Amino acid sequence: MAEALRPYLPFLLWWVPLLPLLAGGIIAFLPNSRGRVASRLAIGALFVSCLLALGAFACTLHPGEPENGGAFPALTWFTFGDVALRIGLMLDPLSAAMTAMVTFVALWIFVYSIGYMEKEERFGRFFGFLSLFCGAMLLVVLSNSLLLLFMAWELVGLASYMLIGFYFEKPSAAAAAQKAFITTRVGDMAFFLGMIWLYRQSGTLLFHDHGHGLLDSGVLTSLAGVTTIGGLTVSAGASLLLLVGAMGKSGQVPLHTWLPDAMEGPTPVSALIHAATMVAAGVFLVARTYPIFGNGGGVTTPLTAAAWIGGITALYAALVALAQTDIKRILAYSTVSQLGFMMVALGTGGVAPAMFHLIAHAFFKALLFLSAGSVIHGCHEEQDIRRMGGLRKQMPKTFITYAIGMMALAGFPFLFSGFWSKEAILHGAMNWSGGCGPFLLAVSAALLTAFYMTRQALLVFYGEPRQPGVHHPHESPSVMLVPLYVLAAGAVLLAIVGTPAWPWFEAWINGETAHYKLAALWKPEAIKLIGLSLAIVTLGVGASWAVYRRVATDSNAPDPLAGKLGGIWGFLERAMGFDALYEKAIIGPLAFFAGAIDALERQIFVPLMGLGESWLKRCGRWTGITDEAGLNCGFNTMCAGLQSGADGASHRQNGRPQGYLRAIGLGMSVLLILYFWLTA
Amino acid sequence: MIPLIPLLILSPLILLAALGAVWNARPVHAALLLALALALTAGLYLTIGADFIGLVQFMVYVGAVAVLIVFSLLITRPGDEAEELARRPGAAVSGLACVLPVATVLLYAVSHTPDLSSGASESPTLPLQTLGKALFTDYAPAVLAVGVLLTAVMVGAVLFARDPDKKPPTPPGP
Amino acid sequence: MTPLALLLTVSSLLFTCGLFAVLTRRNAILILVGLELMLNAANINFIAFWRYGPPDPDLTGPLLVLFSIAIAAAEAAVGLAIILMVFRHTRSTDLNRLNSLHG
Repeated sequence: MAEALRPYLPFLLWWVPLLPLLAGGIIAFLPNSRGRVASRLAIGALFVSCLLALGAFACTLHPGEPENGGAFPALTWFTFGDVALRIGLMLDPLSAAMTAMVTFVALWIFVYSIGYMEKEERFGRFFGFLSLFCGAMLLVVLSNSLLLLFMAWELVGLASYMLIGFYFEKPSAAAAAQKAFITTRVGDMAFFLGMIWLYRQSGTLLFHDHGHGLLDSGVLTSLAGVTTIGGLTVSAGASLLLLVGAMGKSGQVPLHTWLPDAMEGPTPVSALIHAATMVAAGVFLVARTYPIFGNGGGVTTPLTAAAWIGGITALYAALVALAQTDIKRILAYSTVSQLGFMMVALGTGGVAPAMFHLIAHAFFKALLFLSAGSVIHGCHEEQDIRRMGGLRKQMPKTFITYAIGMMALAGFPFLFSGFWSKEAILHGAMNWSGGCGPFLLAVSAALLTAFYMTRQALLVFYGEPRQPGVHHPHESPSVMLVPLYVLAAGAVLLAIVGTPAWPWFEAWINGETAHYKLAALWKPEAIKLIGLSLAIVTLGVGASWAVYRRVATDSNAPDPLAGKLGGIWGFLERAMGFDALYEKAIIGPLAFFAGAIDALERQIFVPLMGLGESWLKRCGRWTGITDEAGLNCGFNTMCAGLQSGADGASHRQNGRPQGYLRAIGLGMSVLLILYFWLTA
Repeated sequence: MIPLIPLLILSPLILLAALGAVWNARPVHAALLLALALALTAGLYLTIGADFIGLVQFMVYVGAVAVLIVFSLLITRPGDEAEELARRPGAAVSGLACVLPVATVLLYAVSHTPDLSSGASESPTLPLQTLGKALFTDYAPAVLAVGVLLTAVMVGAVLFARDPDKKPPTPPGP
Repeated sequence: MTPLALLLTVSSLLFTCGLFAVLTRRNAILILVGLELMLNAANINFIAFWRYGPPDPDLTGPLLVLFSIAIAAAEAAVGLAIILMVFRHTRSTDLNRLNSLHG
């Protein structure tokens, strides 16, 4: 069946991003009252898109390198002079995997939103934004052109802005949306510069173009050939710029500050955008342009940078997550940390482990967020974990799905995809020839991940209920639970394709065939790593259990770790002061500058304008006066004169014929006198 | 010279009568003076030799028009004071001012009239046959038109003069 | 002074008198008097020219005078009839009262 689809792929593939975009466009015109129509439209479009994506995925299943890198013929967007900018789509295993994941996860999150956003007034508008986002994200992953990718990237940022600020009446939400947009903008600037640099050097923006594309060997060698500042090659320099762009979108330190604040948006938004898909776009960008990053072979500068930045981010976020009390914020920092892991994987191990972790992470992070949403919904919009507890008994189904997600994230052994994906990353980091720094950072972060996830689980679901008031939590409706089940199943089942026994995913991404070999698990290296992962998980979970087991009775009691860590706890809670730093160093001067310009405007330009305005008014008044006094007066006088003359003339007609006759007589005699005089 | 004597006598008389008709304040006197002026004019025609015209003048003007004027004066009975021109010097002066230029022009024209008498030795006569023939052959349409005019005038005058409130008399019937 | 000139002078002065009456009199009937004088003056003119002017075998002068007299009579009749009608409405023959056609 997949073969039957293949001839139509160039046409059908465009509809994968286009259908959600069109749905979003149509929804923009629907009134708020037609919320149900909007949601059905959005889900319908995405469903068809998902089917197409799965079909496309099936088409990539046969092994071997696809021709032209999987790129389809590109369309000319516009020309200037004799240069044409072309855009197009491509379908290789990387984009097929991403497309299938995005459509599948998004579809279930849409279904979940029907229940979660039920009471929302702008229900339809929400689905419109979500559709817009999905369309843009699909364009990002399917794009064959760096330019189209960038445009869709920006569109994704826009959708994120609109969704974070969905509750725009809340000032904190509006501020968070602005922060997200501006922080990612910094990254986007670097992305843009990198893109322009690549274009200038190679003359093309397509990834694969029959040998002339950016990822084709010919161009790559030319990019490696030219050296610029600091001894960097063009590919290294441009890759570093692209990396900054990825850092902005994927929340790497120091451009991570927007992600925790982005939790102001509704929970489905957090699940879809800030866990599963958009934040993965940065990782995807690096994966897509990996040949440029790794150009020259071995440990290149950009890859080293990626690995170190990823490692630092992973550890930093894990430390901060320890001290958070908002259920969504813990998950947000967890996302930052896992994105760091993905960057480490890209830097040290290549595209396959990073992508596998990305897809697995999408499933279980979305699962965790949706479960958190279920918890929040059930606890009547309560988000502080200190005020939750004992939910295991009151919301059992949510607990089960949450537990599956948590175990996947923490890396519980064997059954869960997270275990195998993390193991693959650690494997790559351990064997990296550029040093063991990232490896150590990753291991520490993994330990802390297990610790804080167990903490969260204990505080939310175990112990005695600590909720204020008499409102008892209730389980969520099935429209919200079914997506949880599906995602949980995915989180588990994905494990199958990532084990060393049958590394199907890795092989498929690289275009090779995978062989099932159970004996691979017993290789000494594999045993070492599995043992390490097991140790990490056990240590983390065990320590957390020990600390938090007895806590869960009093909501006002301080965190037991706070006492042990003292001042560091507060430092961690404030996310190590990054926000305060940015506030002082960047926002402060900017605000001052803005104030200076405002003062300039107010004190100088406005009075100048006022002067001009008063002068114009004066001129106008004078013109008016001349018009009134001169023209009008003259005209009026003339008219009055005419009128009085006519009046006088008409008074001659007093109705008395004798007067008329006198006039006739006089007139006649005058005429005759004239006649005689002239003819005499 | 001798044929001029009647002319010389009649002309001033006619003018005097006319002046009286114009200046007199009492309407009836003015009307009667008009009748006198018309009669004297008729006499003038007779002395000139236009006998028929003179008689027609007498019959129509004096006998009909002047009588008509007197009758209407009897019906309307105007007062005398309003007509006193000595009391209305303004009107007299302005009337004179308008009339004098006309008079000047006319007299000027008269004075510049060339002597048109040809070498005809006899004074013309007014043979009635010629007059009658001319009237009923060459001027027949004019005569008919005048007839129509007079009929119309008669009808119109009757219509104007009747009493609007009075009903037309019903014809006697069975 | 030729007889023609005399007669013409008489007619001119008669015309002037008639004009003066028309322009000055208040009573409508007396205005008609002036009008008759003017017509009469014109008639005298015609007769004078017939008698003392170039020979006129077609008798155009007297014929015209004949018609003039007839029409003058008709016009006097109509005029007086109108004056009587107006008198019925306004109870006066003062011409100055009839000024509703003013400007």
